[in-house]
Amino acid sequence: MPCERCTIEISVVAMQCPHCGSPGLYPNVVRAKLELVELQQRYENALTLAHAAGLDVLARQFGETVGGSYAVMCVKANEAHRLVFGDNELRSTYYATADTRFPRAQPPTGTDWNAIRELVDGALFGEAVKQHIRFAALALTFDGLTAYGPCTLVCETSMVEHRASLFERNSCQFFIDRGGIAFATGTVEIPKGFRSTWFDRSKLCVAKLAGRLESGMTETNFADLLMMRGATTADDEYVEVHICGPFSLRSLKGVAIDESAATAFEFGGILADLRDRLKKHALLLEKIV
Amino acid sequence: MKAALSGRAAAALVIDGDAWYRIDGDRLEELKPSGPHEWPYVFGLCQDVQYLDVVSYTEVRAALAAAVDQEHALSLALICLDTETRSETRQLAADDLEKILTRTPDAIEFLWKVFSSKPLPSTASLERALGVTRGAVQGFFDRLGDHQEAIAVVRRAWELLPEEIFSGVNADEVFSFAVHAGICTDFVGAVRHSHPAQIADVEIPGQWRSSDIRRILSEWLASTRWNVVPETPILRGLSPDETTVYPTTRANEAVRGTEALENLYGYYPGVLVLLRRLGFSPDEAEDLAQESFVRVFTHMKDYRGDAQWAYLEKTVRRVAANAIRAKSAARRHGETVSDEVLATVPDSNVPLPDASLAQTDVVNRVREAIAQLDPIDQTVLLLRLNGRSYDEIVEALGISMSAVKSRLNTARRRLKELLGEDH
Repeated sequence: MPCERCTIEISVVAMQCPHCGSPGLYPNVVRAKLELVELQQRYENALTLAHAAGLDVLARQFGETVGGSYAVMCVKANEAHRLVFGDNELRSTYYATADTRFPRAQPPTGTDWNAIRELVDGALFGEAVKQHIRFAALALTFDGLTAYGPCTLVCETSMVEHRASLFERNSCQFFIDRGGIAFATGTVEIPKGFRSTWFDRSKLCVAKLAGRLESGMTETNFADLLMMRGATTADDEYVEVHICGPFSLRSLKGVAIDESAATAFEFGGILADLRDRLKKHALLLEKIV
Repeated sequence: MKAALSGRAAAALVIDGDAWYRIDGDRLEELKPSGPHEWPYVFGLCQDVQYLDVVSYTEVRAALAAAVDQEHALSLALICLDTETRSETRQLAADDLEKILTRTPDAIEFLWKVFSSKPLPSTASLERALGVTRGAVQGFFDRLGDHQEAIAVVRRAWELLPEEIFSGVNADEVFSFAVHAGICTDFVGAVRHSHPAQIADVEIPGQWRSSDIRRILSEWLASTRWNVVPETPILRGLSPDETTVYPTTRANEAVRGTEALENLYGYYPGVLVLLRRLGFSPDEAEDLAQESFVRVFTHMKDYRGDAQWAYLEKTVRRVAANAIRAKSAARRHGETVSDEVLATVPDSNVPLPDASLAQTDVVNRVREAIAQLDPIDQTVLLLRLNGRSYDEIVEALGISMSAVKSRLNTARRRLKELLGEDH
């Protein structure tokens, strides 16, 4: 593909043009753009089927609603607190030092740790890029996958829309469910049309979920359809969001705390301070139900 | 059974046979079904993931609880210290911290290491923290207050370390390693009590010299503390003096054979760095490194198993000296290179290639004197003695022209001091 600035051909996994130095390239987004034709085909097929079922208006309404969705991440209270502590000099002085205890911790060689993940992430993003990807889920409410933690970090759309891509569902589970043969041979075949840019997320969601729409569904139903929590996390159904690059307090629209889960947490001091700071920055979100 | 855990993420993933499970730090007793699909959602970009081979869930829970307590202790201590914290919240945090420090004494050591790294910034208030604390937490903050001056002295000393001491390795990484290896806390303690003679220098960091710092660092890093930290590649690229601080194995029979060879071979990158710094091309360095290891391996019977780098370095320098001599001889149509080149080889338990030279008193004295020089000064001098131009030395060592000249002057002056004016 050509660099948008100097037009010289560059790799799809380049994060910076090697010729003109143009920065801010997001390979995950570039790859999603390359599948736009296939995604459009899936989207149109879904609309055709919805039309046949008399649900084409509902399908378009669903798509429009998804246009207002967020990328959300669920973390434990302490991790949320670290982020919200933000630019505080105390934080930068000591958290940074503490984080270097295991400066180059990698899975021990010769073990199977993370082998599948490595393979999938490598195939999705490229080896050099995968380490820069942060995973989130697409949601219509401020209620995320709280099985991973009671604090839902809601991304500020303007801070991620240019560097986020989406995948049909949990990418690892997607490939596992499609059989382990590809993993055994060391290759992962990625079907086209199952990912999108942030701006095309409505098409991806309609392509995935139009077949599950039922007459009379409301926006509340849309939210549950977009993110369905199963008995285990392997049963969760959601659209996966891949955000390339760093993340800070200022990347957030806010944080919603699942009080029922959080109250089981024994450290009231951290939770209390988290709430104080969120209020101070006007980042404490009420859940939209 | 294998486990990966992170205190930051407050979670562990366990592989037990073919099954994956997750244990959360706030619900240690629960064993939740898991799988590789959870990995990025559980650990995110946490850098503190530890990998353990364990035999029971009890071990995983204990390790996770300790890691989580460390993380929470740090957050709670920062909340206590932050001037922006509300009073009620500060009290809650202090109470929680007291619980942790009481049940997990290791957390105090961890906090002490982290807080010994730098003096408290202006946004911290020890007074406010002390106002709400008691017991172990109060003791910790009291101690932290008492040591602020010493912490500042040690931090200033680190900041004054000459860049070349790190030989291209990220100084912040070395510093972080030193923090978690407990070296900073030891320096702080030493400054505070000022009893080891060499630490007295720490109180006047402006007068520190590279060799002083190297010597002190070497002593500290060579101590047993190193053993509590997993071997890290951070120091692989350090200059020869620093690499002498690599963990040493005891001189016993156990280190002979395969283990000893593997240990020595771990220094291969360091050997390449040394050879490159002596002016050899990458290809030449590879060849000479291999030749050095072959020579080491053929003399393994003489190797006692200790001072790994020192042992290896002597051999490498000898191989390098021979190579330089051969190259120079070829370039000068048979003219022999100066004897000083051989002074790159300090006395060694490995026999010198030319025993007759070693028997010369003068040469031996020169050797000993050069061996006492700062390693970079030593390298600059030897390259110059071997006919390398200033530009070549600049290129080989990656330092400035003024640094080359300065180091050469220092080396000559120091040699005169060591040998007397008549030499």
